Amino acid sequence: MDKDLTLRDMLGYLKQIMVKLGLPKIRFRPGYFPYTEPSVEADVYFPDKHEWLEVIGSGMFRPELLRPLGIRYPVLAWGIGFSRLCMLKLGIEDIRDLYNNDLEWLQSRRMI
Amino acid sequence: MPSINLNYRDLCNLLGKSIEKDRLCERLSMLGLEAEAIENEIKVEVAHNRPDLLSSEGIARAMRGFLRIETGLPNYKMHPSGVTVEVDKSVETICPYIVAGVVRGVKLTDDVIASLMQAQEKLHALLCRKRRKASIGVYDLDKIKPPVRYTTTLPDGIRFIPLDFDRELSPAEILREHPKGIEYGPIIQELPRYPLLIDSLGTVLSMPPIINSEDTRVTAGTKGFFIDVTGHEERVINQTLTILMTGLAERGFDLKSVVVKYPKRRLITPNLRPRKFHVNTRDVNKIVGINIRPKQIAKLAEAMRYGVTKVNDSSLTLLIPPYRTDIMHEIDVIEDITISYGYDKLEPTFPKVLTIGERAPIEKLCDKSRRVLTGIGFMEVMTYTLTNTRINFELMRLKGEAAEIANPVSEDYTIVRNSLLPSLLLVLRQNRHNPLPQKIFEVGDVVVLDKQSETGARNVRRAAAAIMGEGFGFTYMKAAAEALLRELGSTFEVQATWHPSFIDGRVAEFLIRGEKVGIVGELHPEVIVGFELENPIVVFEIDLK
Repeated sequence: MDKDLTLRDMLGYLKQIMVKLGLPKIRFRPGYFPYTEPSVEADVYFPDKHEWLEVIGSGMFRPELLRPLGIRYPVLAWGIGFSRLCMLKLGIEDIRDLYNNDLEWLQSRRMI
Repeated sequence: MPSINLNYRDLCNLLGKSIEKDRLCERLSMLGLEAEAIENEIKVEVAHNRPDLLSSEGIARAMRGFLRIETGLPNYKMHPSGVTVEVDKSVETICPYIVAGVVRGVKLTDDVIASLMQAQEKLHALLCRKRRKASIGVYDLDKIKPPVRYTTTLPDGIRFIPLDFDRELSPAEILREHPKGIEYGPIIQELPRYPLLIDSLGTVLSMPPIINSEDTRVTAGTKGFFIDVTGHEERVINQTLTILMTGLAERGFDLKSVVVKYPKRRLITPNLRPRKFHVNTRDVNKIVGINIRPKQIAKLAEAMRYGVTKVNDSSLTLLIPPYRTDIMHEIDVIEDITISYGYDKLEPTFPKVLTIGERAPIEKLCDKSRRVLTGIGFMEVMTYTLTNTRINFELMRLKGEAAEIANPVSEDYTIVRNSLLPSLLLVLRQNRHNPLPQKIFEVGDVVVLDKQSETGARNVRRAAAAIMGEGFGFTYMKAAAEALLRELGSTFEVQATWHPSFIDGRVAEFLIRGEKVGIVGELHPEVIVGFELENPIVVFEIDLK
């Protein structure tokens, strides 16, 4: 939240986060979430997989949602599909394996 | 999200332009409609707030603007049809509202029929909430003799042939025997009378919201439609009719209005009037972070099918198309203008807000705990926070209450855990085939009931560890727990205690300034056997704060 934050600023944050995670190629599309307007979905390019994957949902909170809380400034919000990023980083194919607690299997995994 | 299938050839037809499939999908997704081409179809995901896009016609209308084939407010001409619907007083307590329209000049092809059926099905599912809020009927106009009466019948009243049947059934029989009666019957089953649409010659049109009659069925030769929407909310039935009829107008069919006569008022439907709306152009630039002139903004709005009636230095007067039921606030229009501008053309700006961030203190504490526990040879596991009373309480020889899930999906996950220990025991059970000893830990949240808390419960971050195997007794685990507490900088005391999950005399609790913060001990054999394990297990669990 800050005075004068813009939609382009939000794209800037998302871009910087992905740059820091080593995935600098990011593209933006319109999305829909009930609490944000405008809403943005972001696809990130994974060079190992040669694929764009949808990993971020984001938006600017709707003003009528902020007013009852006494907020009069723009608020940017986003959520990153962290499980998906982990799966790619760890080479996991099945999302349930993120919670696989077979000790022998765990020992064979790298740390992130 | 709801998805619909568009016939590629039909879509190009409606667009009035042939566009290569990949390009079409890319443009659809930049309009906010995730699209994927599968052979001759394009599968499109439509957001819940846009029921006007639940048909090929609706999508083509939006795309024509977005692709700048045709911009501005769609122009709907409508003349009176001469058809009247008379509303009987008896519907008031049954299903009180109806709107209707007529479409002439209909030319049905397989594509048109498929698209109309899909639109009706999707509107029923979404906007009409599985027919609970509203229900649509489409009939062959030439098989009806107006005026149409919207009335009610007794469950064993008038008999008619429902769609796809070859014999007459009573309303109650339809509810029992017809597939649609079985599916949607519960909506009206308990009512003393059922809704009924019937024409001046006594031909039944339908029994909303269940089924139409075979007599008024739409066929390949149908030249005109009579359409009705009945329901409990006037807003929803109006929206549904407007979306359906304006979609058909995209096919070049002629829309005609219907007079609906209630006992005490008279309406002309459908409502195709656009809404007037003012947008401050400075807000557009300020929120998006761009700098474009009011005239350009007007062009962008027109590409999203808004009408523009006035352009000032700092504001636009727009006309919102009647089928746009989602526009509530200026911000909704601003988003449309941004989409029209192109999300792909928005350059990210490096954030101007420079504050110094750092990890939350609790996360630092957790990281430190993880380092300490891995340092003394434990392996980290990650488990589910949801569990059930058998695992959380019974198998631990405990009685108690935990935060319950209101509508659990599965019997296995009905409460939120209030201890990490059962989770660790489940991991050990999963690892029975692996060599011993097994030393594991988890740092995670539990939820404890707390009357002081606003919600009646609060989250507590804990660290817990377990060792299964011979040669690790109370003393070993106590030393491990003390190592953790010491590294976290706590001054603590240990005192003997008693706990149903542990063996008497082999359990102690940790206290910081007299407050209980953790427990350590050897698990009771019944607990071990309960989790289908057969080796001694020592555990500890400590609050992190």
